Amino acid sequence: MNKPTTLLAVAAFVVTALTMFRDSVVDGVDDPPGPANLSQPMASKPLAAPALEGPVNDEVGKRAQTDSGLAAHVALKYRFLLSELRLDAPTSEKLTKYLLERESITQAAEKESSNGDEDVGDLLRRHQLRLTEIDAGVQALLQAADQANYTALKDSDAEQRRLYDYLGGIRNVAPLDERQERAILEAKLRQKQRYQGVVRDSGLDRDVLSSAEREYAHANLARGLKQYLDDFLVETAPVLTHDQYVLLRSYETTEFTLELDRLQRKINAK
Amino acid sequence: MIQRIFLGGLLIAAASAASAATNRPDGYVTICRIGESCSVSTSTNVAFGASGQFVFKVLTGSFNCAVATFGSDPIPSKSVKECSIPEGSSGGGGSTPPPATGSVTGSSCSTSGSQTTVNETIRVTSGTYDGGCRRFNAGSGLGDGGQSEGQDPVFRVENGATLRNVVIGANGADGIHTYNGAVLDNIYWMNVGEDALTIKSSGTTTVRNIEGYDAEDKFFQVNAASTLNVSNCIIHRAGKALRQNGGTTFKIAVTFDACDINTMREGVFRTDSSSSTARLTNSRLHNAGSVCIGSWASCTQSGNTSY
Repeated sequence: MNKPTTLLAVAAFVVTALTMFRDSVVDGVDDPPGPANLSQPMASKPLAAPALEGPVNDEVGKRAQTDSGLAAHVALKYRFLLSELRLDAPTSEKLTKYLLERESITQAAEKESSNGDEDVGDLLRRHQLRLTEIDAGVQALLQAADQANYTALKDSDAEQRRLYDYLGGIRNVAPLDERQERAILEAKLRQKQRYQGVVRDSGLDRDVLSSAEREYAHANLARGLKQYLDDFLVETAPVLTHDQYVLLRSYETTEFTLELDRLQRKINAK
Repeated sequence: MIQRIFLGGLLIAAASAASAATNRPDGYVTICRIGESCSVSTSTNVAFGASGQFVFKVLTGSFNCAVATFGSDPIPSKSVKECSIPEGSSGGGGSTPPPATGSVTGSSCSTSGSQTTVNETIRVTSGTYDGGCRRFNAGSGLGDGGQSEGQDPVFRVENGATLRNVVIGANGADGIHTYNGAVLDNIYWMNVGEDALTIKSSGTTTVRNIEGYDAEDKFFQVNAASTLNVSNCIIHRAGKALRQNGGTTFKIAVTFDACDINTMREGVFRTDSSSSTARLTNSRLHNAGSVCIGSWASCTQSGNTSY
Protein backbone atom coordinates (compact mmCIF):
# COMPACT_ATOMS: atom_id res chain seq x y z
CA MET A 1 0.00 0.00 0.00
CA ASN A 2 2.91 2.32 0.69
CA LYS A 3 4.26 1.85 -2.77
CA PRO A 4 2.58 4.51 -4.93
CA THR A 5 1.75 2.23 -7.79
CA THR A 6 -1.43 2.75 -9.74
CA LEU A 7 -4.06 0.23 -8.92
CA LEU A 8 -4.15 -1.40 -12.34
CA ALA A 9 -6.27 -4.30 -11.29
CA VAL A 10 -8.99 -2.13 -9.78
CA ALA A 11 -8.85 0.21 -12.75
CA ALA A 12 -9.24 -2.75 -15.05
CA PHE A 13 -12.17 -3.94 -13.04
CA VAL A 14 -13.82 -0.56 -13.26
CA VAL A 15 -13.14 -0.26 -16.97
CA THR A 16 -14.48 -3.72 -17.65
CA ALA A 17 -17.65 -3.04 -15.73
CA LEU A 18 -18.20 0.37 -17.24
CA THR A 19 -17.48 -0.94 -20.72
CA MET A 20 -20.11 -3.57 -20.13
CA PHE A 21 -22.56 -0.87 -19.10
CA ARG A 22 -21.67 1.25 -22.12
CA ASP A 23 -22.09 -1.67 -24.48
CA SER A 24 -25.48 -2.50 -23.06
CA VAL A 25 -26.51 1.12 -23.57
CA VAL A 26 -25.52 0.88 -27.22
CA ASP A 27 -26.86 -2.59 -27.88
CA GLY A 28 -29.98 -2.82 -25.78
CA VAL A 29 -33.30 -1.11 -25.69
CA ASP A 30 -33.22 -0.62 -21.95
CA ASP A 31 -30.78 1.95 -20.72
CA PRO A 32 -29.28 0.93 -17.40
CA PRO A 33 -29.38 3.56 -14.70
CA GLY A 34 -25.88 4.84 -15.20
CA PRO A 35 -24.08 8.13 -15.39
CA ALA A 36 -24.45 10.30 -18.44
CA ASN A 37 -20.86 9.89 -19.56
CA LEU A 38 -20.29 6.20 -19.16
CA SER A 39 -18.58 6.04 -22.51
CA GLN A 40 -15.64 8.00 -21.20
CA PRO A 41 -12.88 5.51 -20.42
CA MET A 42 -11.28 5.60 -16.98
CA ALA A 43 -8.03 4.11 -18.21
CA SER A 44 -6.22 4.16 -21.51
CA LYS A 45 -6.95 0.56 -22.40
CA PRO A 46 -9.23 -2.13 -21.05
CA LEU A 47 -7.56 -4.79 -18.94
CA ALA A 48 -8.61 -8.15 -17.65
CA ALA A 49 -10.59 -8.28 -14.43
CA PRO A 50 -8.62 -9.35 -11.37
CA ALA A 51 -8.50 -13.00 -10.38
CA LEU A 52 -10.64 -13.76 -7.37
CA GLU A 53 -8.91 -16.77 -5.82
CA GLY A 54 -8.02 -16.74 -2.15
CA PRO A 55 -11.52 -16.12 -0.95
CA VAL A 56 -12.60 -13.68 1.68
CA ASN A 57 -15.78 -15.66 1.28
CA ASP A 58 -15.81 -18.62 -1.12
CA GLU A 59 -19.45 -18.35 -2.13
CA VAL A 60 -19.22 -14.65 -2.84
CA GLY A 61 -15.96 -15.14 -4.68
CA LYS A 62 -17.63 -17.67 -6.95
CA ARG A 63 -20.63 -15.45 -7.48
CA ALA A 64 -18.45 -12.46 -8.30
CA GLN A 65 -16.67 -14.41 -11.01
CA THR A 66 -19.92 -15.35 -12.66
CA ASP A 67 -22.15 -12.42 -11.79
CA SER A 68 -21.10 -9.59 -14.03
CA GLY A 69 -24.06 -7.57 -12.83
CA LEU A 70 -22.70 -7.54 -9.28
CA ALA A 71 -19.24 -6.55 -10.49
CA ALA A 72 -20.70 -3.75 -12.57
CA HIS A 73 -22.74 -2.58 -9.60
CA VAL A 74 -19.66 -2.45 -7.40
CA ALA A 75 -17.70 -0.59 -10.06
CA LEU A 76 -20.42 1.97 -10.46
CA LYS A 77 -21.26 2.43 -6.81
CA TYR A 78 -17.68 2.89 -5.69
CA ARG A 79 -16.31 4.56 -8.81
CA PHE A 80 -15.48 7.82 -7.02
CA LEU A 81 -13.44 5.79 -4.54
CA LEU A 82 -11.85 3.25 -6.90
CA SER A 83 -10.74 5.82 -9.43
CA GLU A 84 -8.58 7.54 -6.85
CA LEU A 85 -6.95 4.61 -5.11
CA ARG A 86 -3.28 3.84 -5.41
CA LEU A 87 -2.91 0.32 -4.09
CA ASP A 88 -0.66 -2.59 -4.94
CA ALA A 89 -2.19 -5.57 -6.71
CA PRO A 90 -2.72 -7.93 -3.73
CA THR A 91 -4.33 -5.17 -1.70
CA SER A 92 -6.60 -4.18 -4.53
CA GLU A 93 -7.72 -7.76 -5.01
CA LYS A 94 -8.55 -8.04 -1.35
CA LEU A 95 -10.49 -4.79 -1.52
CA THR A 96 -12.41 -5.97 -4.56
CA LYS A 97 -13.44 -9.16 -2.78
CA TYR A 98 -14.60 -7.26 0.27
CA LEU A 99 -16.68 -4.91 -1.84
CA LEU A 100 -18.22 -7.73 -3.83
CA GLU A 101 -19.17 -9.58 -0.66
CA ARG A 102 -20.63 -6.48 0.92
CA GLU A 103 -22.77 -5.69 -2.09
CA SER A 104 -23.78 -9.31 -2.44
CA ILE A 105 -25.16 -9.25 1.10
CA THR A 106 -26.88 -5.92 0.53
CA GLN A 107 -28.47 -7.03 -2.71
CA ALA A 108 -29.64 -10.27 -1.15
CA ALA A 109 -31.29 -8.28 1.64
CA GLU A 110 -32.98 -5.99 -0.89
CA LYS A 111 -34.22 -8.99 -2.82
CA GLU A 112 -35.60 -10.60 0.32
CA SER A 113 -37.17 -7.34 1.33
CA SER A 114 -38.98 -7.01 -2.00
CA ASN A 115 -40.44 -10.50 -1.49
CA GLY A 116 -41.73 -9.96 2.03
CA ASP A 117 -42.72 -7.57 4.75
CA GLU A 118 -39.35 -7.12 6.38
CA ASP A 119 -37.51 -4.01 5.30
CA VAL A 120 -33.93 -3.83 4.09
CA GLY A 121 -32.73 -2.23 7.32
CA ASP A 122 -34.00 -5.12 9.43
CA LEU A 123 -32.51 -7.70 7.10
CA LEU A 124 -29.16 -5.97 7.06
CA ARG A 125 -29.11 -5.84 10.85
CA ARG A 126 -29.17 -9.63 10.78
CA HIS A 127 -26.03 -9.56 8.68
CA GLN A 128 -24.49 -6.83 10.79
CA LEU A 129 -21.67 -8.90 12.21
CA ARG A 130 -20.29 -9.83 8.81
CA LEU A 131 -20.83 -6.32 7.45
CA THR A 132 -18.90 -4.91 10.39
CA GLU A 133 -16.05 -7.32 9.69
CA ILE A 134 -16.03 -6.36 6.03
CA ASP A 135 -16.06 -2.65 6.82
CA ALA A 136 -13.16 -3.09 9.22
CA GLY A 137 -11.29 -5.08 6.59
CA VAL A 138 -11.84 -2.41 3.96
CA GLN A 139 -10.86 0.44 6.29
CA ALA A 140 -7.62 -1.35 7.09
CA LEU A 141 -6.70 -1.28 3.43
CA LEU A 142 -7.40 2.41 2.94
CA GLN A 143 -5.79 5.66 3.92
CA ALA A 144 -7.70 8.18 6.03
CA ALA A 145 -9.20 10.26 3.21
CA ASP A 146 -10.32 7.17 1.37
CA GLN A 147 -11.82 5.71 4.55
CA ALA A 148 -14.19 8.67 4.82
CA ASN A 149 -15.07 8.29 1.17
CA TYR A 150 -15.84 4.62 1.67
CA THR A 151 -17.96 5.31 4.74
CA ALA A 152 -20.08 7.75 2.76
CA LEU A 153 -20.45 5.52 -0.29
CA LYS A 154 -21.16 2.17 1.32
CA ASP A 155 -24.74 3.08 2.30
CA SER A 156 -25.48 5.31 -0.66
CA ASP A 157 -27.59 2.99 -2.84
CA ALA A 158 -30.80 4.98 -2.54
CA GLU A 159 -29.03 8.27 -3.17
CA GLN A 160 -27.16 6.89 -6.17
CA ARG A 161 -30.34 5.42 -7.63
CA ARG A 162 -31.94 8.83 -7.41
CA LEU A 163 -28.89 10.49 -8.89
CA TYR A 164 -28.90 8.20 -11.92
CA ASP A 165 -32.65 8.54 -12.33
CA TYR A 166 -32.20 12.32 -12.50
CA LEU A 167 -29.14 12.07 -14.76
CA GLY A 168 -30.93 9.72 -17.15
CA GLY A 169 -33.89 12.05 -17.44
CA ILE A 170 -31.87 15.07 -18.46
CA ARG A 171 -29.03 13.43 -20.37
CA ASN A 172 -30.34 14.68 -23.73
CA VAL A 173 -31.09 18.15 -22.47
CA ALA A 174 -28.44 19.24 -20.00
CA PRO A 175 -26.00 16.39 -19.34
CA LEU A 176 -23.69 16.59 -16.36
CA ASP A 177 -20.00 15.86 -16.40
CA GLU A 178 -18.37 13.55 -13.87
CA ARG A 179 -17.25 16.42 -11.66
CA GLN A 180 -20.82 17.65 -11.37
CA GLU A 181 -22.18 14.16 -10.73
CA ARG A 182 -19.72 13.70 -7.93
CA ALA A 183 -20.49 17.08 -6.42
CA ILE A 184 -24.21 16.27 -6.34
CA LEU A 185 -23.69 12.86 -4.78
CA GLU A 186 -21.28 14.14 -2.15
CA ALA A 187 -23.58 17.01 -1.23
CA LYS A 188 -26.49 14.62 -0.90
CA LEU A 189 -24.53 12.25 1.33
CA ARG A 190 -23.28 15.08 3.54
CA GLN A 191 -26.79 16.43 4.09
CA LYS A 192 -28.17 12.93 4.57
CA GLN A 193 -25.77 12.44 7.47
CA ARG A 194 -27.26 15.47 9.24
CA TYR A 195 -30.80 14.39 8.43
CA GLN A 196 -30.25 10.94 9.91
CA GLY A 197 -30.00 12.60 13.31
CA VAL A 198 -33.50 13.99 12.80
CA VAL A 199 -34.82 10.54 11.90
CA ARG A 200 -33.27 9.03 15.02
CA ASP A 201 -34.81 11.79 17.12
CA SER A 202 -38.29 11.18 15.68
CA GLY A 203 -38.86 7.77 17.21
CA LEU A 204 -39.38 5.89 13.95
CA ASP A 205 -37.54 2.90 15.35
CA ARG A 206 -40.23 2.42 18.00
CA ASP A 207 -43.26 0.19 17.47
CA VAL A 208 -45.78 2.49 19.10
CA LEU A 209 -45.99 6.26 19.39
CA SER A 210 -48.43 8.25 21.49
CA SER A 211 -50.53 10.92 19.84
CA ALA A 212 -48.17 13.64 21.06
CA GLU A 213 -45.15 11.67 19.91
CA ARG A 214 -46.70 11.20 16.48
CA GLU A 215 -47.38 14.90 16.27
CA TYR A 216 -43.78 15.61 17.22
CA ALA A 217 -42.50 13.10 14.67
CA HIS A 218 -44.61 14.62 11.90
CA ALA A 219 -43.41 18.14 12.60
CA ASN A 220 -39.81 17.13 13.20
CA LEU A 221 -39.50 15.08 10.03
CA ALA A 222 -41.27 17.66 7.86
CA ARG A 223 -38.86 20.30 9.15
CA GLY A 224 -35.86 18.01 8.86
CA LEU A 225 -36.65 16.95 5.32
CA LYS A 226 -37.18 20.52 4.22
CA GLN A 227 -33.84 21.49 5.72
CA TYR A 228 -32.20 18.50 4.02
CA LEU A 229 -33.59 19.53 0.63
CA ASP A 230 -32.83 23.23 1.04
CA ASP A 231 -29.25 22.68 2.18
CA PHE A 232 -28.65 20.15 -0.59
CA LEU A 233 -29.90 22.55 -3.25
CA VAL A 234 -27.89 25.46 -1.87
CA GLU A 235 -24.78 23.32 -1.96
CA THR A 236 -25.30 22.06 -5.51
CA ALA A 237 -26.43 25.28 -7.17
CA PRO A 238 -22.92 26.68 -7.74
CA VAL A 239 -21.70 23.64 -9.66
CA LEU A 240 -24.68 23.35 -12.02
CA THR A 241 -25.92 25.33 -14.99
CA HIS A 242 -29.26 27.07 -14.65
CA ASP A 243 -31.10 24.33 -16.58
CA GLN A 244 -29.42 21.54 -14.66
CA TYR A 245 -30.28 23.20 -11.37
CA VAL A 246 -33.92 23.88 -12.24
CA LEU A 247 -34.38 20.26 -13.28
CA LEU A 248 -32.61 18.98 -10.17
CA ARG A 249 -34.78 21.15 -7.95
CA SER A 250 -37.95 19.90 -9.66
CA TYR A 251 -36.84 16.29 -9.43
CA GLU A 252 -35.75 16.42 -5.81
CA THR A 253 -38.77 18.43 -4.66
CA THR A 254 -41.00 15.64 -5.96
CA GLU A 255 -38.83 12.94 -4.41
CA PHE A 256 -38.75 14.67 -1.02
CA THR A 257 -42.52 15.12 -1.12
CA LEU A 258 -42.93 11.41 -1.78
CA GLU A 259 -40.52 10.61 1.02
CA LEU A 260 -42.45 12.82 3.44
CA ASP A 261 -45.63 11.04 2.44
CA ARG A 262 -43.97 7.67 3.04
CA LEU A 263 -42.77 8.76 6.46
CA GLN A 264 -46.17 10.15 7.38
CA ARG A 265 -47.77 6.82 6.62
CA LYS A 266 -45.10 5.09 8.66
CA ILE A 267 -45.71 7.39 11.62
CA ASN A 268 -49.48 7.04 11.37
CA ALA A 269 -49.12 3.26 11.47
CA LYS A 270 -47.42 3.39 14.88
CA MET B 1 -39.75 30.23 -7.76
CA ILE B 2 -37.29 29.67 -4.95
CA GLN B 3 -39.21 32.12 -2.84
CA ARG B 4 -42.44 30.33 -3.58
CA ILE B 5 -41.02 26.95 -2.71
CA PHE B 6 -39.58 28.36 0.49
CA LEU B 7 -42.87 29.94 1.45
CA GLY B 8 -44.71 26.75 0.62
CA GLY B 9 -42.26 24.80 2.70
CA LEU B 10 -42.75 27.12 5.65
CA LEU B 11 -46.48 26.72 5.39
CA ILE B 12 -46.13 22.97 5.25
CA ALA B 13 -43.78 22.90 8.22
CA ALA B 14 -45.98 25.20 10.24
CA ALA B 15 -49.04 23.21 9.43
CA SER B 16 -47.35 19.97 10.30
CA ALA B 17 -46.46 21.27 13.71
CA ALA B 18 -50.07 22.06 14.40
CA SER B 19 -51.63 18.83 13.29
CA ALA B 20 -51.62 15.18 14.09
CA ALA B 21 -51.50 14.14 10.46
CA THR B 22 -55.19 14.10 9.86
CA ASN B 23 -56.88 15.70 6.89
CA ARG B 24 -57.46 18.89 8.86
CA PRO B 25 -55.32 20.91 11.28
CA ASP B 26 -56.04 20.65 14.97
CA GLY B 27 -59.04 22.76 15.89
CA TYR B 28 -60.37 22.74 12.35
CA VAL B 29 -63.50 21.08 10.96
CA THR B 30 -63.92 19.84 7.43
CA ILE B 31 -66.52 21.59 5.31
CA CYS B 32 -65.96 19.91 1.96
CA ARG B 33 -63.63 17.70 -0.04
CA ILE B 34 -61.56 18.28 -3.14
CA GLY B 35 -63.70 18.74 -6.23
CA GLU B 36 -66.62 20.15 -4.25
CA SER B 37 -67.68 23.75 -3.90
CA CYS B 38 -68.14 25.21 -0.44
CA SER B 39 -68.57 28.58 1.19
CA VAL B 40 -67.67 30.65 4.23
CA SER B 41 -69.83 33.54 5.35
CA THR B 42 -67.01 35.82 6.52
CA SER B 43 -63.26 36.10 5.84
CA THR B 44 -61.93 32.79 7.09
CA ASN B 45 -58.51 31.19 7.12
CA VAL B 46 -59.32 28.01 5.17
CA ALA B 47 -56.98 25.03 5.26
CA PHE B 48 -56.57 22.73 2.26
CA GLY B 49 -54.71 19.45 2.38
CA ALA B 50 -54.43 15.99 3.85
CA SER B 51 -52.25 13.84 6.08
CA GLY B 52 -50.93 16.72 8.14
CA GLN B 53 -49.88 18.83 5.15
CA PHE B 54 -51.80 22.02 4.47
CA VAL B 55 -51.82 25.33 2.71
CA PHE B 56 -53.98 28.16 3.98
CA LYS B 57 -55.84 31.00 2.35
CA VAL B 58 -58.21 33.62 3.68
CA LEU B 59 -61.42 33.29 1.69
CA THR B 60 -64.92 34.74 1.68
CA GLY B 61 -68.06 33.39 0.02
CA SER B 62 -68.16 30.43 -2.35
CA PHE B 63 -65.04 28.73 -3.59
CA ASN B 64 -63.92 25.48 -5.12
CA CYS B 65 -62.01 23.14 -2.88
CA ALA B 66 -59.20 22.75 -5.39
CA VAL B 67 -55.50 23.28 -5.90
CA ALA B 68 -56.24 26.22 -8.19
CA THR B 69 -58.00 28.07 -5.36
CA PHE B 70 -55.09 27.73 -2.97
CA GLY B 71 -52.29 28.14 -5.48
CA SER B 72 -50.32 25.02 -4.60
CA ASP B 73 -50.79 21.40 -3.71
CA PRO B 74 -49.49 20.67 -0.21
CA ILE B 75 -49.34 16.92 -0.80
CA PRO B 76 -49.58 15.85 -4.45
CA SER B 77 -49.35 12.20 -3.55
CA LYS B 78 -52.74 12.31 -1.81
CA SER B 79 -55.70 12.41 -4.13
CA VAL B 80 -58.29 13.00 -1.41
CA LYS B 81 -57.87 16.36 0.30
CA GLU B 82 -60.20 18.40 2.47
CA CYS B 83 -61.04 22.02 2.97
CA SER B 84 -61.47 22.89 6.61
CA ILE B 85 -62.09 25.95 8.75
CA PRO B 86 -61.47 26.79 12.42
CA GLU B 87 -64.06 25.35 14.77
CA GLY B 88 -66.77 27.89 15.45
CA SER B 89 -66.44 29.51 12.01
CA SER B 90 -69.41 29.56 9.76
CA GLY B 91 -69.17 27.61 6.57
CA GLY B 92 -70.53 24.75 4.60
CA GLY B 93 -70.37 23.03 1.30
CA GLY B 94 -70.19 19.73 -0.40
CA SER B 95 -72.62 20.86 -3.07
CA THR B 96 -71.06 18.60 -5.69
CA PRO B 97 -71.14 14.97 -4.71
CA PRO B 98 -67.80 13.22 -4.91
CA PRO B 99 -67.36 10.57 -7.59
CA ALA B 100 -69.28 7.42 -6.79
CA THR B 101 -66.21 5.30 -7.26
CA GLY B 102 -62.55 6.08 -7.05
CA SER B 103 -61.20 9.57 -6.85
CA VAL B 104 -60.77 11.56 -10.03
CA THR B 105 -58.54 14.54 -9.47
CA GLY B 106 -56.56 14.75 -12.70
CA SER B 107 -53.30 16.62 -12.63
CA SER B 108 -52.14 18.62 -9.62
CA CYS B 109 -50.18 21.00 -11.86
CA SER B 110 -51.65 24.45 -12.31
CA THR B 111 -51.31 26.33 -15.57
CA SER B 112 -49.70 29.35 -13.98
CA GLY B 113 -46.16 28.02 -13.83
CA SER B 114 -43.29 29.61 -15.71
CA GLN B 115 -43.21 28.96 -19.45
CA THR B 116 -40.51 27.41 -21.59
CA THR B 117 -40.69 27.54 -25.37
CA VAL B 118 -39.69 24.22 -26.90
CA ASN B 119 -38.17 24.53 -30.37
CA GLU B 120 -36.73 21.04 -30.49
CA THR B 121 -38.41 17.91 -29.16
CA ILE B 122 -37.17 17.02 -25.67
CA ARG B 123 -36.09 13.38 -25.64
CA VAL B 124 -36.30 11.44 -22.40
CA THR B 125 -34.48 8.19 -23.07
CA SER B 126 -33.94 6.90 -19.53
CA GLY B 127 -34.51 7.87 -15.93
CA THR B 128 -36.99 10.56 -14.95
CA TYR B 129 -37.53 14.04 -16.37
CA ASP B 130 -39.38 16.18 -13.85
CA GLY B 131 -40.75 19.39 -15.33
CA GLY B 132 -41.69 20.92 -11.97
CA CYS B 133 -45.14 21.77 -13.40
CA ARG B 134 -43.62 24.38 -15.72
CA ARG B 135 -45.45 25.06 -18.98
CA PHE B 136 -43.76 23.66 -22.07
CA ASN B 137 -45.14 25.50 -25.05
CA ALA B 138 -44.27 24.34 -28.56
CA GLY B 139 -42.38 26.80 -30.73
CA SER B 140 -43.45 27.19 -34.36
CA GLY B 141 -40.74 24.75 -35.45
CA LEU B 142 -42.67 21.87 -33.89
CA GLY B 143 -46.05 22.84 -35.31
CA ASP B 144 -48.91 25.23 -34.82
CA GLY B 145 -50.94 23.05 -32.48
CA GLY B 146 -53.72 22.66 -35.04
CA GLN B 147 -54.97 19.44 -36.62
CA SER B 148 -52.43 19.19 -39.42
CA GLU B 149 -50.55 15.89 -39.52
CA GLY B 150 -46.79 15.69 -39.25
CA GLN B 151 -46.27 18.03 -36.32
CA ASP B 152 -43.46 17.16 -33.94
CA PRO B 153 -44.01 16.30 -30.30
CA VAL B 154 -42.97 18.48 -27.38
CA PHE B 155 -41.66 15.39 -25.57
CA ARG B 156 -40.52 12.01 -26.82
CA VAL B 157 -40.31 9.44 -24.00
CA GLU B 158 -38.58 6.14 -24.65
CA ASN B 159 -37.60 2.79 -23.20
CA GLY B 160 -39.67 2.94 -20.03
CA ALA B 161 -38.41 6.36 -19.00
CA THR B 162 -40.61 8.62 -16.88
CA LEU B 163 -41.95 12.07 -17.66
CA ARG B 164 -43.68 13.81 -14.76
CA ASN B 165 -45.03 17.16 -13.59
CA VAL B 166 -45.39 18.81 -16.97
CA VAL B 167 -47.88 21.27 -18.41
CA ILE B 168 -48.12 21.20 -22.21
CA GLY B 169 -48.91 24.79 -23.11
CA ALA B 170 -51.40 26.49 -25.42
CA ASN B 171 -49.49 25.31 -28.47
CA GLY B 172 -49.40 21.58 -27.85
CA ALA B 173 -48.03 20.65 -31.32
CA ASP B 174 -48.17 16.83 -31.36
CA GLY B 175 -48.01 16.50 -27.59
CA ILE B 176 -46.04 13.53 -26.31
CA HIS B 177 -44.77 10.49 -28.24
CA THR B 178 -43.76 7.25 -26.56
CA TYR B 179 -41.46 4.55 -27.90
CA ASN B 180 -40.91 1.13 -26.31
CA GLY B 181 -43.02 2.00 -23.30
CA ALA B 182 -43.05 4.95 -20.93
CA VAL B 183 -44.47 6.30 -17.69
CA LEU B 184 -46.29 9.63 -17.74
CA ASP B 185 -47.29 11.03 -14.38
CA ASN B 186 -49.06 14.29 -13.59
CA ILE B 187 -49.34 15.83 -17.04
CA TYR B 188 -51.68 18.70 -17.98
CA TRP B 189 -52.50 19.56 -21.60
CA MET B 190 -53.92 23.07 -21.76
CA ASN B 191 -55.01 22.82 -25.37
CA VAL B 192 -54.31 19.56 -27.14
CA GLY B 193 -52.85 20.02 -30.60
CA GLU B 194 -52.74 17.22 -33.15
CA ASP B 195 -52.99 14.59 -30.36
CA ALA B 196 -52.20 14.63 -26.64
CA LEU B 197 -50.25 11.38 -26.65
CA THR B 198 -49.20 9.04 -29.46
CA ILE B 199 -47.81 5.57 -28.90
CA LYS B 200 -45.31 5.14 -31.70
CA SER B 201 -43.86 1.71 -30.99
CA SER B 202 -44.59 -1.37 -28.93
CA GLY B 203 -44.30 -1.45 -25.17
CA THR B 204 -46.35 -0.65 -22.09
CA THR B 205 -47.25 2.97 -21.53
CA THR B 206 -48.52 3.86 -18.07
CA VAL B 207 -50.35 7.16 -17.71
CA ARG B 208 -51.64 8.51 -14.41
CA ASN B 209 -52.85 11.75 -12.89
CA ILE B 210 -53.45 13.58 -16.12
CA GLU B 211 -55.79 16.24 -17.40
CA GLY B 212 -56.32 17.65 -20.89
CA TYR B 213 -58.60 19.92 -22.83
CA ASP B 214 -59.86 20.48 -26.35
CA ALA B 215 -58.53 17.67 -28.44
CA GLU B 216 -60.33 18.38 -31.69
CA ASP B 217 -59.91 14.80 -32.85
CA LYS B 218 -58.21 12.16 -30.66
CA PHE B 219 -56.69 12.47 -27.20
CA PHE B 220 -54.71 9.21 -27.27
CA GLN B 221 -53.50 7.85 -30.61
CA VAL B 222 -52.07 4.32 -30.75
CA ASN B 223 -49.90 3.47 -33.74
CA ALA B 224 -48.31 0.20 -32.59
CA ALA B 225 -49.21 -3.05 -30.89
CA SER B 226 -48.95 -2.05 -27.26
CA THR B 227 -50.49 -1.81 -23.82
CA LEU B 228 -51.85 1.46 -22.46
CA ASN B 229 -52.93 1.75 -18.82
CA VAL B 230 -54.50 5.05 -17.80
CA SER B 231 -55.63 5.98 -14.29
CA ASN B 232 -56.97 9.15 -12.73
CA CYS B 233 -57.55 11.12 -15.88
CA ILE B 234 -59.73 14.03 -16.87
CA ILE B 235 -60.43 14.46 -20.56
CA HIS B 236 -62.53 17.46 -21.45
CA ARG B 237 -63.83 18.01 -24.94
CA ALA B 238 -62.44 15.77 -27.67
CA GLY B 239 -63.52 13.81 -30.67
CA LYS B 240 -62.52 10.52 -29.05
CA ALA B 241 -60.58 9.66 -25.92
CA LEU B 242 -58.61 7.00 -27.79
CA ARG B 243 -58.13 5.91 -31.37
CA GLN B 244 -56.16 2.96 -32.68
CA ASN B 245 -54.58 4.02 -35.95
CA GLY B 246 -57.24 3.70 -38.64
CA GLY B 247 -57.21 0.51 -40.71
CA THR B 248 -54.62 -1.28 -38.57
CA THR B 249 -55.23 -4.78 -37.25
CA PHE B 250 -52.51 -5.24 -34.66
CA LYS B 251 -53.54 -5.83 -31.06
CA ILE B 252 -53.66 -3.13 -28.43
CA ALA B 253 -54.78 -3.58 -24.81
CA VAL B 254 -56.20 -0.49 -23.15
CA THR B 255 -57.48 0.16 -19.65
CA PHE B 256 -58.87 3.41 -18.27
CA ASP B 257 -59.60 3.54 -14.53
CA ALA B 258 -60.95 6.43 -12.45
CA CYS B 259 -61.36 8.89 -15.27
CA ASP B 260 -63.70 11.79 -15.92
CA ILE B 261 -64.51 11.85 -19.61
CA ASN B 262 -66.79 14.56 -20.79
CA THR B 263 -68.01 16.13 -23.98
CA MET B 264 -66.75 13.66 -26.56
CA ARG B 265 -67.98 14.40 -30.04
CA GLU B 266 -67.86 10.74 -31.03
CA GLY B 267 -67.05 8.48 -28.09
CA VAL B 268 -64.41 6.96 -25.85
CA PHE B 269 -62.58 4.03 -27.52
CA ARG B 270 -62.36 3.43 -31.27
CA THR B 271 -60.56 0.73 -33.25
CA ASP B 272 -60.71 -1.12 -36.54
CA SER B 273 -58.87 -4.12 -35.10
CA SER B 274 -60.81 -7.18 -34.02
CA SER B 275 -57.94 -8.33 -31.82
CA SER B 276 -57.75 -5.27 -29.57
CA THR B 277 -59.24 -4.96 -26.09
CA ALA B 278 -60.41 -2.03 -23.98
CA ARG B 279 -61.81 -1.63 -20.48
CA LEU B 280 -63.26 1.41 -18.72
CA THR B 281 -63.78 1.23 -14.95
CA ASN B 282 -64.75 3.41 -11.99
CA SER B 283 -65.16 6.48 -14.14
CA ARG B 284 -67.50 9.40 -14.56
CA LEU B 285 -68.98 10.12 -17.96
CA HIS B 286 -70.76 13.20 -19.23
CA ASN B 287 -71.85 13.52 -22.86
CA ALA B 288 -69.21 10.94 -23.64
CA GLY B 289 -70.92 9.31 -26.64
CA SER B 290 -70.42 5.62 -27.28
CA VAL B 291 -67.87 3.93 -25.07
CA CYS B 292 -66.93 1.28 -27.63
CA ILE B 293 -66.74 2.11 -31.30
CA GLY B 294 -65.53 -0.37 -33.90
CA SER B 295 -64.66 -4.02 -33.94
CA TRP B 296 -63.05 -4.60 -30.52
CA ALA B 297 -62.33 -8.20 -29.54
CA SER B 298 -63.43 -7.12 -26.11
CA CYS B 299 -64.61 -3.75 -24.86
CA THR B 300 -66.03 -3.77 -21.33
CA GLN B 301 -66.90 -1.39 -18.54
CA SER B 302 -67.85 -1.51 -14.88
CA GLY B 303 -68.37 0.83 -11.97
CA ASN B 304 -68.95 3.85 -14.19
CA THR B 305 -71.46 6.59 -13.54
CA SER B 306 -73.00 9.29 -15.71
CA TYR B 307 -73.48 12.85 -14.58
